[in-house]
Order: sequence, then structure tokens, then C-alpha cells
Amino acid sequence: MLENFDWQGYKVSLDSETFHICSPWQLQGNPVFGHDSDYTTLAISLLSLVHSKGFQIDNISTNDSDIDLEVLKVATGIENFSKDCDWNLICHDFASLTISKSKETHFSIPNGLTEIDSKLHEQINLAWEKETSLENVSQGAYISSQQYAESLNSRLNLLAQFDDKAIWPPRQLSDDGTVIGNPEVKLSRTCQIESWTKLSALGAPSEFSIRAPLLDGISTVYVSFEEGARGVFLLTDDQNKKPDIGMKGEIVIRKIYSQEGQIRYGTKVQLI
Amino acid sequence: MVDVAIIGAGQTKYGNHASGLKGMWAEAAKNAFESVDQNFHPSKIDEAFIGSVAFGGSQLGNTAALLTEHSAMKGISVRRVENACASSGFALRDAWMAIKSGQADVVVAGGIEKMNDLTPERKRFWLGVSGDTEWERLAGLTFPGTYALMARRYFHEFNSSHDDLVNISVKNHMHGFDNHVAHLRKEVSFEKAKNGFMVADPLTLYDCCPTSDGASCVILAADHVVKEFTDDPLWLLSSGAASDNLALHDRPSITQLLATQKASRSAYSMAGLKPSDIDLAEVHDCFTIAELLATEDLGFAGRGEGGKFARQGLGRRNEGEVCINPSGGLKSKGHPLGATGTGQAVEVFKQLKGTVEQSRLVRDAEIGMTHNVGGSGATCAVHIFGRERNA
Repeated sequence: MLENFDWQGYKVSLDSETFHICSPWQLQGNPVFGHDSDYTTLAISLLSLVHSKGFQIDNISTNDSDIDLEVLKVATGIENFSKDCDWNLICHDFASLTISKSKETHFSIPNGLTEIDSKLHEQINLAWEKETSLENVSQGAYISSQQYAESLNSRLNLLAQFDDKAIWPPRQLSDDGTVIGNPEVKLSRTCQIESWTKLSALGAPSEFSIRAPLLDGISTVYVSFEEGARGVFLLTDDQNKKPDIGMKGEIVIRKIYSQEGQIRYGTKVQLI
Repeated sequence: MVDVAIIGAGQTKYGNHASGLKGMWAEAAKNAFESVDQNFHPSKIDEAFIGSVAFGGSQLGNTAALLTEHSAMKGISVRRVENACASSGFALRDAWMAIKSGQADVVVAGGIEKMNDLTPERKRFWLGVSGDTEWERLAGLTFPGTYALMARRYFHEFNSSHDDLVNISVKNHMHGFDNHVAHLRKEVSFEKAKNGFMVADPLTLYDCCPTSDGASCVILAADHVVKEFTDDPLWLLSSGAASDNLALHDRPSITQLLATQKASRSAYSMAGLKPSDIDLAEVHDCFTIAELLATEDLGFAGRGEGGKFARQGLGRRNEGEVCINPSGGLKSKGHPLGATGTGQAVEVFKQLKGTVEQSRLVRDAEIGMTHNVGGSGATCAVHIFGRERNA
């Protein structure tokens, strides 16, 4: 029996051991990615759902070379992406994918997709293309591949250290000079908005200088987790929503920006 | 232990300068040299500390060596001091410590920044290098955003609104109007400031300081050599400094700056003074919310009372109990990052010696303070100055 619902800002449907996920946006009847999603973020989101349903996936094969397997590995814990696996990750032509034990799947576009502004959609795609080009020298903060990789697990999985209380993002030495243990505690993925701002394109960091003007600025929230940690995140899919202090949000994985040809993935907040 | 006096102070005008680093620094140093009452020669300087972020990357290394080479200080021990926007506040502290330690008798503390010769995109990059790069910046934050988060949270926790920030903006523009070295010498109405272009909601353009070119320089001397240079020194009574977590999310509260509280406690204690003893304070108002928080953190207003303090105009020149930002502050005088801290000291020097424009003189002022913050509060230096050696 097919079960349909929203999950981390996407549309999903479950049918026995077959799982579909689709962008909530459409253009001329076909699903298209939102401003900060791609097949990697869809795959991470759907795999987290599959795991939450009790299915253990240790290996999976994929037909899409655009998926960032390193990021997928860190975000999901799956180590094996060889050709012949028990599970298959099948990317469809239009901003959707399926995870199934079968290699033959039928995917139907779900109802209730929201029409996206076609001009803006095209501009955002061009902006990402330009930003990701190796010829683009970002004027943004330089975060090396090593620095990005060092914190990626904590960033994507909200993995916190514990030293009397949850510590996130991870720290090095405690106040008494001892090494704090490795991050092992997963923060809940829901949070509460404690403050927020919307930066005009004029005030946004230069990492976002190509996209921010198109989006009429970018919104950032300062949130608290029930475990006591706090963080700052960009909002995602907030075109028709305005944050407020006290509102709840969900932490989701999206594209943040691109540097040296590599898309940097991270966590954003989706208002609930 | 040796006492420390300020014997000279000078700066460039803040704003857009046609000259580069060497020209600006030479102008500030020359103005400082010429402000010393008698017998001064640059050869008498033992050491120099120059604050700078090296905005734009121009002469990022060996900044101090280059600048002192071009300002008659060649050959002495020099270094660049970098603590973001508090760079020269810490340069001043380093100069004070050099004399206190007995290693030097005459020391220069200064600062410089050249900010307006970059493309807008490069400028935004450099404006963000002092925040938490890995987490805050990738969440879209530069300092307007960081301070906007503080402001909105403050409004939520206390009886305050954006109108309180507007009052601060209007006051500082009023104070800076007659300051001939100020970057933005124009008064603004409440309505104009309230309805300015939104930079980072809820902060408008009138809540944000400008990016300025500028240089500033003060000359410090040990008590046993002061008489050689002046009969009317300004005494640097105390220096307090502290640091805090770089990122907002690592702090227990975002509506107070613990580094300011700690640095000011240290400065008050060392000087044997309390907040009500301060006649004027140059406060780090990179954003209007920063001044509001500082009035609380420095003890001029109680916790949660900063909005009321601004609303009632208690920081206005010759009206309230303490004049906050008689120069116009960063908001009107301008904010050439590395030059700001010692630029504040130049203002206090001139105010307490009565040499500022008479139209903006704080009357009967005896004690002054400077408060210089790095970034969103990760570093802070507070200094207290007095007409009398032992206040």
C-alpha cells in the first residue's frame, strides 16, 4: 500500500521495500530541484528515512555519477557503493530518485508539487553552474578541503561531544585542558528559533554573492537544540515563510556553496 | 610601578582617502608628533605597535616595518597587532605594557586601515574574515547579520525595540556633525534613520557604521620622562582586556558581551573607579545594538536597561550623566578597523585637554574611557584616562 508524506522538505512515497523521493517544486508539470537541492541531498534525505523505518542498508549501487559519494558516505554511514549491491539508488530524469531492491522501478510524479518561478529557477541554476566552475575564484572565506572534511561528520549528522552537556559544534580541549572525547551524541533534528535575520545581498558574505541578489537576500537563524547546544544555520525553502522566535525548525542537508569546483554540503533549517 | 601618560595624539580624517597606507600613516604620525607640547623628536621613540587587519591583503606581512620606515621611526622594535576591529585597542595596551614593564620610556601605539580601494565583493570578503569562518560564515553571517541576531534577541528578552537603536544613530550623527575628522558629518532625523535601507533585518543602513580609510597614532611616555615633553599630560590610568568565544552559538548569551564586562571590570578596578565616575566614553558602536549592549556591559545602565538609556538620551553630550561617543562614534566618525581603537584614544586625549572643536566639547570632563571590540565580541580592550595622575 502506497504511503505518501512530506519528509525534510521533500515529497516521499513508500511502497513495501521501494522508496521514492521527489523535489516539492515543479516546472511545466515536471519536478525540478529547489534552490539548494540536488540528487545528493535527495539521496541523503531518503536514506535517512529508510534507516528510520528500520531497514539496514550497508551497500547500495547507484546509476548517477553526479552524486557526491563521499558526502553520502559520511551522511548515511554506507561504505559500499559498488555495482552489485542488495539495494539500488536510481536517479530519475526529473529531480527525484528511488531506493529499492529491484533495479526496475516505476515512479509516478506525486501530487501537490508547487510551481517554481521559471526565470528565477533558470537564474539560480546558472548561478550554481558559474559558482561551481573551476574558473570561478571565490572571494569567499577559504575553507580548505581538509578543514571541510574534518567537521563534515559533525556538520551533517549533528554529532556532538558530551562533557557534562552536549557540545556542538565540536571543540578541542575542555576548560581544564583535557581532550574532549569524539563526537558521539546525535542532536535531535528539530530545533527552536531563538533569533533570526534576513541579510540583504549587500550584507551577505561574498560566498553567496552570485545567488543572494537573485534570492533577494538570505535568511539565517540562531537556534537551540533540546540537548542544550546552539547553532546558526541558513534557512531553506523560505520563499513563502517568515521565521519568528519560538518557532520550530527541522535540520536538513542542502547545498551551501561551492569552492574550487566542489559543492560544499551542510545543514540548513526548514521551518516547520 | 611606573605610571603611563599620553603626551601626543593625532589622526587622519576618516573617510575615503586618495593616499595609500604610507601616506595615511605618515599624516597621523606627524599630527601626533606635532601635538606634543615640547622637545619631541621621533628619535626618542623606543618601540611602536600598530594595529591593522591589513584589509584587502595589501602589505599583510611586516606592515609595521614599512609604516615606521616612512614615519621617522626606522630601526626600533615594531610590530603589527591584529585583533580584528580591536587591533589598535590592543596595540595601545601593548604600548602601555611596554612602558609598565620598564623596557621602554616612549612608545607609539597606532592603527591604520585602507578599506575603500576594493571592489564591493572583495570588501565583503575582508569584512567577514574576523568572524567564525567555518560555522557562522557558512550560515550566511557577516557582522551585520551577527549583530542583527543579537538585536532581535535583545528586543525579545527586554523592553526594547528598533526605535531605541534609532535614537543611538541620531545621537551619534548629531555628535559627529561638528567633528572635522568624522567620515559622515551629517545629522539624520529619527524618521530617516528608522526607515533606512534594510541591511540585515532589523538593522538598517543607519544602524551600521561606514567602512572608512584612516590612521591614528598616540604617543605614550613613562612618568619619569613626561616632564620633558609636557606639563599637561593625560594619564592612562588603566588597561583592561579580555576575550570570549568567537562564535555566537558558543556563548551562554547573545545579548551581552562577556569580554566587555570582564575587560571593563579589570579597568575599573585598576583605576579605582566606577562607571559613574566616567564623564565621557568612546564606545565601539560598529552597529547601534553594539552601543546599546555596551552601555550595559560597561555599567552605565543596568541589565536590560540599555534601551531605556538610549530612549531617554542619557548618552547625549552635556545632557546625560556620561557622554557616549562624543566623536560621533564608529557610526558617524567612521570605522577604519585597525585604526579605530587608538582613534578613540585621540578623541579622549583632545576632549580631556579641551582641544576639540568647542561646539562639541564635553564640559568639565576629567575622566574618559575607550571601549574597543574585535568582531562580535571575541576580543575587547578597555582603557581609562584621567586628567589627574591618581584618580
